[in-house]
Amino acid sequence: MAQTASSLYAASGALAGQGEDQALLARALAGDLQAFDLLALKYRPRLKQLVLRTVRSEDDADDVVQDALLRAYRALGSFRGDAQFYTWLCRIAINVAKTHVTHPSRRVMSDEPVEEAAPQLTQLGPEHDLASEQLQRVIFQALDALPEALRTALTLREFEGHSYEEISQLMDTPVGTVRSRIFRAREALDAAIAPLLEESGL
Amino acid sequence: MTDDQKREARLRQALSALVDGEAHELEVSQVLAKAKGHDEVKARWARYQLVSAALQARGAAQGSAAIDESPATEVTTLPASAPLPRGFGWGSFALAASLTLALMVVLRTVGPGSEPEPRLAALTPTAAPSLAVPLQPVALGGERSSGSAAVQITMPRAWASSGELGPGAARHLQTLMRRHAELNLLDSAGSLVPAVRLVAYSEAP
Repeated sequence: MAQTASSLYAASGALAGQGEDQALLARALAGDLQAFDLLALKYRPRLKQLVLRTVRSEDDADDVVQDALLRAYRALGSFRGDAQFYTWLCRIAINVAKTHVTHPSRRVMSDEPVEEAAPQLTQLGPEHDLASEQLQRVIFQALDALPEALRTALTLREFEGHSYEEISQLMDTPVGTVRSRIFRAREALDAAIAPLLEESGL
Repeated sequence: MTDDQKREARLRQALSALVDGEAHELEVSQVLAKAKGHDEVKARWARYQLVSAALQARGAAQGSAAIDESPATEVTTLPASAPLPRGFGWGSFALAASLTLALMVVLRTVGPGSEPEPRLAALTPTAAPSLAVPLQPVALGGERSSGSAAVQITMPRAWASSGELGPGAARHLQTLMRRHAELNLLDSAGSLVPAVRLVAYSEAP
């Protein structure tokens, strides 16, 4: 059975680093919707994977996740930062999913005007329903084809979770170069998956 | 390359840095300003996250495979002098774990109407990471099991002997802990292990 990109996110598990979210989280807490939207884009696939354990249909899962994100946005002021942001989102999503299953009448706000509910959050496109096996194959082929310096920088970041500073020490290279190498590596991988995403309708 | 193209490239590089939590404040502002009304920025962000997820999924799978292939050893105590990696926070985890274990023992042993037994005093949580507490078996893989036995934490022999955890291993442990926390959330009614304890582990300085 083909994994979905959502399950791929779930398998990665390590995306939810509080440190990685800090800049966006601080701005979201200050009321910046764009910052919250980027966080929502980041976590939506994994939240969907999570709620699919409770609700059975993809459509329901999408509804639950969207509702959970809107609730999270409204309740952002109550997030005290004593837990991971993603964990906090998980709690909300699970509660919404349970309500969705046990009290269908309380299902959220499909009838509410968007303006009253919360600012509209960006929905992910069909790339997140793409079969991840194919996606992974393309990504790793592109990774193998990268110049060694780019590949090393990106894998030290993504596989090992090193900071740019640590990678600069490991590679004996300025931090700016590390940053540039990781960016160029990502660009190459992005270019590699672009045709695949276009094929799936993007 | 025109000035516009250079600006675009700088913005994309800032977006890449933001994925890693390494963007400067000014860059974050620029990205967010650009994201407003420019779906391409958000689409690129989502694709970068997708690539990142794919790579990290493989990394996690490789970590799991390495752990599975490594001969396991049973650890009952941690060497006090073992060097711990900076930022891993094992001491905090051990303290939280011992507090949690103590709580579980109290909840299991001191039922309604029963008297606390004197031997419980020995389970008073201490800062020392003593894991040899008579209780349920605990596997780091997150599986629960019933029955009484000594607490067991299985880990690759290399970790136990060196006392050091590389970033990949620490990352994998964080993944396991996060999954465990998610499962606890899903099964919150039946779980005695507070998810916050495990979350605290991954946030320890």
